[in-house]
Amino acid sequence: MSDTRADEQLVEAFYENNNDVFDILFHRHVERVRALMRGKSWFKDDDQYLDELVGQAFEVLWQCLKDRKFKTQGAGSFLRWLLGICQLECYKQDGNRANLPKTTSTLFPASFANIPVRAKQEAEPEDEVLRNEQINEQLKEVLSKLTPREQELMQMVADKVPYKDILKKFSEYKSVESLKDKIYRIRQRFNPE
Amino acid sequence: MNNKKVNGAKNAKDPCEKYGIAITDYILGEEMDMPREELFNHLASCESCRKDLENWRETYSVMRNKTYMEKPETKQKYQEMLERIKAPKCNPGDKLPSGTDIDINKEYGWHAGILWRHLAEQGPTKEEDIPAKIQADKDKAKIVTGWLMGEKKVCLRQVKGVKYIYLTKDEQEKYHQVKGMAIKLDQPRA
Repeated sequence: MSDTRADEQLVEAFYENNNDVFDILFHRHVERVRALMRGKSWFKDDDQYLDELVGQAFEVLWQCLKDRKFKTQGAGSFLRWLLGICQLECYKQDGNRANLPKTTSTLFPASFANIPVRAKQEAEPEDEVLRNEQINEQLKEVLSKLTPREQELMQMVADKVPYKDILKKFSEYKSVESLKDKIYRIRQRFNPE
Repeated sequence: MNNKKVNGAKNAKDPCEKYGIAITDYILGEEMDMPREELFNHLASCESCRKDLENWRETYSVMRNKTYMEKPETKQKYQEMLERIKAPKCNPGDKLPSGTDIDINKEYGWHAGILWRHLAEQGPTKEEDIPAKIQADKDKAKIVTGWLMGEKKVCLRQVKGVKYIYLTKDEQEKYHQVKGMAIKLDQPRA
């Protein structure tokens, strides 16, 4: 059964030397932290690197909590603080990995070709997490309305399986074009009204 | 729902459909049916397709992250990560009086580098001579030697009752590779 205590209460328990509550915080936030890192990092397609980023962010969190650096400022303050840590860690590690600019303000359309997906660089981390969670909800809803075969197809797409390998499993698509068309039609259902 | 697009790619009346398919490919990293420049030029002038791109990018990102996090091997990896983070590090609790934790890398790592370089340049060295060679006391020399042994960088051989430390063949080769790169070991910081 999942723990219903608020993050801030868990931190209080941690400060009272109950290290086990860190597990709850970790499992509660790890997915959204990784999603945030994926949105922020220049190396979003490198799963191993993202995992390392997440590990480093939680390592920093652990140390900060050990040093009692978090001071609660009401509900939601822990998450804001954690996401701030994650964002900083992401910029720091990205900067270490490659000497890239850390912020980009204007992207559309002039520099689009060079830096394709950094448009939301300036978004506040909590806004980005909220947005990810909204998308997640929409995703669940749309996916539940797909046929099992379509769900399987989208699972492979999400797994980054190349078209040619998807075709081997889905004999109903005679060509890459028909497969592309199908994915396009499905993905349009994810678009808002 | 987006009625403009949901009618399908086959509807030739919608000029954006071919770009919609290209957007799918672009985000998935698949080969597009048109040059990138053509897509980018279209995006520069078509707000609807820019929104479509942004929606698909966000949706795909969330979908991919979720799928990845649900894999059993990922769950295992993250559990191990959590255990690593929580593993005691310089935290002796009540068993040790308070003091200053020493940075092991600074304290021994630098000497390990000196010993490594000495062995690479001078070859096998008697174990008893190592403290003088690395300018450290006997205890530190033992720790430093153990450090390199733990990293499988040195070996130990006994010849007529005398123990010699020498660099492994791989490490010798590594030394020759970096020799020309004018690597200078940093002095330990104060």
